Amino acid sequence: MNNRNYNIFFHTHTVSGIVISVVLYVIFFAGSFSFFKEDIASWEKGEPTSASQTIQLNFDQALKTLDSTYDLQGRNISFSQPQNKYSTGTSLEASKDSLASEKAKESKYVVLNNTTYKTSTYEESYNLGEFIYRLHFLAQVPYPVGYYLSGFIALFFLFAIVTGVLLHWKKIISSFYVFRPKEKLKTWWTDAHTSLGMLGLPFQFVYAVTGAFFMIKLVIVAPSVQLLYQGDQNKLYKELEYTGTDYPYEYKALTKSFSINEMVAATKKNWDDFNITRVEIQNYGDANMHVVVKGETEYDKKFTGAGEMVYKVATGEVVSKKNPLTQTTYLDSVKNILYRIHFGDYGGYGLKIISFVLGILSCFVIISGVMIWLVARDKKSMPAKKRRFNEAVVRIYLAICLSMFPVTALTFTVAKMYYPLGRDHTYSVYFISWLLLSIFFILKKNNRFTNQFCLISGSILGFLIPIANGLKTGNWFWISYNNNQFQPFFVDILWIILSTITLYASFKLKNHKEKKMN
Amino acid sequence: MPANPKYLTQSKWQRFAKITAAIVGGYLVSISFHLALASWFNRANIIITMAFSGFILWVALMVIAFLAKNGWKIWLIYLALSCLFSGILYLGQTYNPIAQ
Repeated sequence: MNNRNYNIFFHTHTVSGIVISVVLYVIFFAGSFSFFKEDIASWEKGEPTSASQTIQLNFDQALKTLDSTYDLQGRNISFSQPQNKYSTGTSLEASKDSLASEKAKESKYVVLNNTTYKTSTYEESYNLGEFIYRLHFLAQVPYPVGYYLSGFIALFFLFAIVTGVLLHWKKIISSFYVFRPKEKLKTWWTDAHTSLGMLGLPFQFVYAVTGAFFMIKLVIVAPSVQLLYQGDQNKLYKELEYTGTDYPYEYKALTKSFSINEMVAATKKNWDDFNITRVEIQNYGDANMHVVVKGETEYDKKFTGAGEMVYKVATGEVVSKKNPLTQTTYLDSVKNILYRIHFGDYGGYGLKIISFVLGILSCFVIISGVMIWLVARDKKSMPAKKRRFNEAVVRIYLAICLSMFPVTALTFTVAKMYYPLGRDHTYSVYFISWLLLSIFFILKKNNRFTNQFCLISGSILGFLIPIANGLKTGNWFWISYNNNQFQPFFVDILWIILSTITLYASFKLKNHKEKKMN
Repeated sequence: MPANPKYLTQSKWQRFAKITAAIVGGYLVSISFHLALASWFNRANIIITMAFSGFILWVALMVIAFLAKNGWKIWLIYLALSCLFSGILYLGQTYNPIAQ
């Protein structure tokens, strides 16, 4: 590689990296915790929910209850799986029947309890897991700004990854093994950045690409719709099999009685290790009512195995059938894999923990990159004004990034003590404490202090989390362990481990500093 | 040691040309390339492939734009490529129209 290319890669890597760094840190930090979204929700609620891949619901009973409250005549209804066995996301579309009651013409999304059939709105079932998950694609920033911002950050993250690899290409193997902690600070940051960056490279590449796809797929969908499908997006979604056949409403009452449970059971029986993940009902109560039962094979049997059966209710016949074992297309695979490799939900807790660690590691790579940027410019030859500016940038960056740790720990404790905290209060606790802490650090003008303070306060607050849980619910982690309530136990233990590590790190840093002074 | 400015673009206009060529030009080439393919081959499969390859190609083209000696020249090349792919797309649409 000639010098020119090397310097271009170097410069573009630096500029793109420094521009996206803070937001990318927020995305990775919140994203790492999002692997445990369901565990956090269950921990907060104090209810263990064993993860279930299949919908465990008495559909007939549920529909009867829903019908009395919401009037289902002529609606399209879908039940989908929100990953645990106690509730099911239920969407009720507005009735297609023009003569339907006012109630039936209102579309609804509710979370349905699988045993009591009580419905709650999305706001009512909002929880800490959901908050952190949504923070990782900046959903709290008004739509569409947050979504697009996170999407473009992912895209430029991919750019930073590619230029970073090209930059190190010649020495990529040797520098992976290099770590010189006793050298000057700049070398320390550089070595950490390159070897940890290299370690997380495949992981980060996957998240950059899939993250960009999730958030800014519109930049791909829009031209496809305009140029290939004459502006008709329904055609695109149909061709990509995101939507199925749309059965028209016939304005004739359905005379036959039916049982959705039987159709679901019949579908499930077709194939071994087949889980029902989605049930869609079209034209409820109409002669042309159809039921689509969708599911997937277990991941360890077949990674992509999407199957479905479509029933026409009036005749009871199977209109179409897709075998998950033999009829898996390239389309199914790509659609499935793009999500699976981002969510990391196909390999149990082992995979989630590894993903969490790699996510936090990426946060460290980002911070070390910012530190290199600062240290490399902290020279006598630089004009004083520029140095002051760089110093201020890094101070603000570190204040925002590092304070996320104590703020997150604080919000866990508060969410437990004042359960249910609700969305607005979660926002207040998280964002106000984050803002205040950041301002405090920015005014304090001491990066070492910021770091120490965040590590220590984070670990103290982190230790308070299992204590808060124990005091509030009496469900101390050893009790939840004995009662096989894995999720509450797991979140408590996760915080104990995290807090121990950060406390240890802060003592190490302190000793190091004292030694240097003596 | 920050990058040696000797090798970096100094002119503001050149820099502007390269940055826009990277982001806008790269996007145009990547999208038109995939859509041209989609109009001739298995449409659904190519569109779903674009979900990841579209972004990867876009980023690759960004890198190439920054390596270019002349920002306007790379803009010209990207525009020419986009026109070429759009032409192929147009022909593909004419020969393999989507059933209405």
